[in-house]
Amino acid sequence: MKTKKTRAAVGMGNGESTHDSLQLSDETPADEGDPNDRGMPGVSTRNQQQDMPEGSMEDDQRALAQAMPEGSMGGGGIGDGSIGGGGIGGGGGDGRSADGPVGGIGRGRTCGTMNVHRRLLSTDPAYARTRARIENQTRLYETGEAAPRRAGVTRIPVVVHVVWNTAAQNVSDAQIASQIDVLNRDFRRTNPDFSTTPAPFLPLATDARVEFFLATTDPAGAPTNGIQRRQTTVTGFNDNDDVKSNASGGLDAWPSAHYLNMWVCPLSGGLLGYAQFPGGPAATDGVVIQQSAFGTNGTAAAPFNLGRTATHEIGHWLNLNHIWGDDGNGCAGTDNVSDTPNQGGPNTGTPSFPHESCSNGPNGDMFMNYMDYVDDRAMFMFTAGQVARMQACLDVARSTIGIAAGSTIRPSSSPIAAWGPNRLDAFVLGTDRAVYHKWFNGSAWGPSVTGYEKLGGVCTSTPQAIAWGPNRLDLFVTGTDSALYHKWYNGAWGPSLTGYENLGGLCVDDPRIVSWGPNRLDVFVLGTNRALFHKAWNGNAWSPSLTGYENLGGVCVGQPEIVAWGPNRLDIFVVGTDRALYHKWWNGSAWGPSVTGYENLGGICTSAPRVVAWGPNRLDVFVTGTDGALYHKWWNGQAWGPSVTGFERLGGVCIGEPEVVAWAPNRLDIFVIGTNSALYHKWWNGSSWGPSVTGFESLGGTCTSQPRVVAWGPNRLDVFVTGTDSALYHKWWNGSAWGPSVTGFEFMGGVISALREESAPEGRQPAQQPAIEAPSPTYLQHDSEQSQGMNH
Amino acid sequence: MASMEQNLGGSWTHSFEEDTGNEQVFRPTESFSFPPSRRPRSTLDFGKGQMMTAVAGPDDKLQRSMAPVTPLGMQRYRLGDGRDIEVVEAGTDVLKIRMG
Repeated sequence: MKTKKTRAAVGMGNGESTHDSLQLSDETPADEGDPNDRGMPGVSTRNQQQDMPEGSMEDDQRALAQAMPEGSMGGGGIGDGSIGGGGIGGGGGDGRSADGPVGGIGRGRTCGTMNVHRRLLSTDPAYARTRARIENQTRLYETGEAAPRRAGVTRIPVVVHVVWNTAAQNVSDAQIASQIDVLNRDFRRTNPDFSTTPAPFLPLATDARVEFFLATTDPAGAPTNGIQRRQTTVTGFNDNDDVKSNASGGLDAWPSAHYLNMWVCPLSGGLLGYAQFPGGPAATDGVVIQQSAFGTNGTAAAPFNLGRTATHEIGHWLNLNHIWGDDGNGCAGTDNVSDTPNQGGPNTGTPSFPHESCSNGPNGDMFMNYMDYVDDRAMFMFTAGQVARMQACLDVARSTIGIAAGSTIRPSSSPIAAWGPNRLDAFVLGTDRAVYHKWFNGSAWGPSVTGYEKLGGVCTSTPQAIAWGPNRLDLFVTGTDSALYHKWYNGAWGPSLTGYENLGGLCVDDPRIVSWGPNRLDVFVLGTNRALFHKAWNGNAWSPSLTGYENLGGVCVGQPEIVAWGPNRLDIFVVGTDRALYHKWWNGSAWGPSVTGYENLGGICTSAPRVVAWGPNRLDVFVTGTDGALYHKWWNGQAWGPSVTGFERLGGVCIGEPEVVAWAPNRLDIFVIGTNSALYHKWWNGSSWGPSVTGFESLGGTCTSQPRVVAWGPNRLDVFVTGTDSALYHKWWNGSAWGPSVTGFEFMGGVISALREESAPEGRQPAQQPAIEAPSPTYLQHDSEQSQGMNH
Repeated sequence: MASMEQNLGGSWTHSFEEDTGNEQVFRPTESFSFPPSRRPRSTLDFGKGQMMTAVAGPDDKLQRSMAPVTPLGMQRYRLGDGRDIEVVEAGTDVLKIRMG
């Protein structure tokens, strides 16, 4: 968008808007080539077989059976008990990657090294800076000055590149599965041999809170089994990274920001495997494993047939050093972890406990650590300090990997945001129409369970929050002058606690915002002519200007929906005046089908669309039809399903807009409000709809707002609604159960005037006194508190 | 006197399982079938008056470094860092050395 012409960029509502591209209802542009490339709404021919039925009300038997009586929305427990542990430990170390020689020859020689790690450190300032940043940040974790941001378990998608010369080296899917199983035991401390850890070291053995799974979506968004295979003429690779490139007989890496690349191949010279530390080139990022030391079956051969070579190498990939400190047999090296004993050189084979070196008696070397050089059956633990170091790596150098839903899901704006695991920020309007904020920091609600932080303003839209990075929030509302206003949190609220930045425009309905990358915001609003308008923050400035907008045409009913399935990619969905669904997109260089044109996707929609992208080039769209049922369509990277204008009927009789989130690739959770005002839920687990294609799970309550749902991690859901007392209520799925109960809700206080403005019934009376803290001045000081620019 | 390349040419990899006392045994990198080893094997690569040594690094890759080699006679050579090596045996399939 930065490169686009801004001819159509105008201030909204100031009489300057260009309407030359706007087409009126029932008009067909003379030069229209593609019937879908038209200004909306246009009359479209829809597939009658798959179209939404009109007026065919069909009761959802399951919903009726599980309908809850009114008034069941009760209080609940505080918190959910699912908060993960800390794992902070370790300390000391000098942050250097000691890399002295190990062998008996060449000891002490460090000049002129051709090792990639060393070469990059000395010749690539960016790599050196990255390594220094990683080590500096890691030290903060070791000293307790920083806490791991990823509570719970991080699940990392893996692609296995099998590069084989002889047929026997083409390891089977079963052998690959056995390796994944080993990793999921070793990195969760569920390996059976963990119990044989010598007693003095047993208290140090720690769950690394990392799991691995074969990727289900490839970089293009297509389904995959996470395994790539190729026969090569290379009889044996070495550590020169030839195996990581198609051109040199191997297989190219998948994007390391989202996948762990694991190459399995014949390695010459008896080499079992090697790794790349974080911060290096993406094209070679990952681990390489000798095929005969991979997994636990097939070609795996003793004494390296328990899959521990991959455990060791992934330890390096997560920034662990060898336990002896990589200083040959000396006692001066360090592994940058404080809870491992000082150790001379590497141990090999299957040592007997204790084995002393460097005066480290009576317990001696921790040779059973995965980061020593012993045989597979002799290694079975990571320490707490090592886990802290790995978690620091995940937060800093590998921050994009394994984040909720395979790191590719970027939720669009909502009153509820989660900038990291076990973090929630909720924004609501009070009765004074000021913005109020509460948050969950992993252990408690702030400012209190039922209290709120007042953020000022007099708002005419539901607050819309978006988080493009940890500890970062951007909040958008419209003011009484219908202009768009913005504030942000980067450790403190800007431009001030109660102040807002005026972004101009005359807006109707709620703004929608999406972020396709750090420090990137794309904002969409409807103008008074109900055309779609757009502006963007590129990290330095607003475009087309602080208060200007780009006109994207159309006449839209209801709120637009925006998703980004990848960097510099936007997909916009709106409902036209003919109530059909329309779509347009930004592909990184141009708007499709045109700047002001839209693709007609059919249907007769009675709700605004809700869309989620659970992977690259994947879109799932949900609307309600004229029969109140939920309808679904999807883009699989190549075509719309079930057809361009058709929809899949998912049953129910829904009130208001559905809500949809994805916490993993090929996972969908949809929430709707039923005619009895209870909350209902259904899900897609990758192969089927639950509880059935047209059935819903009843989650109780009597809701007065649409549900707002966020997933801050895999298999985690947090749902927010308002109750008949206008207070905020919360429930959650922790991976195994609903909290506080299947049909119960946690009381969050407040008297909410807008969580979803349109759904608030008129004449509703608060059932209790406001719990919002400290109502003070309610006047929005747009002029006096307007920022002179964003201090991002 | 035969050149060092004639005596020692090619790449040799440490077959540490065969070491005896202070003698280190190396085998041809390309042709010898080394058993797998967690500890990456060091290599020696002689050529053009220089020797490349490679030892295990922190990421399990080999760290390679070049050093000039000066023949001292009597199968002894001085490395660039001042250390001497004595070639005990230099056959087509085995190289045995002592580090000075």
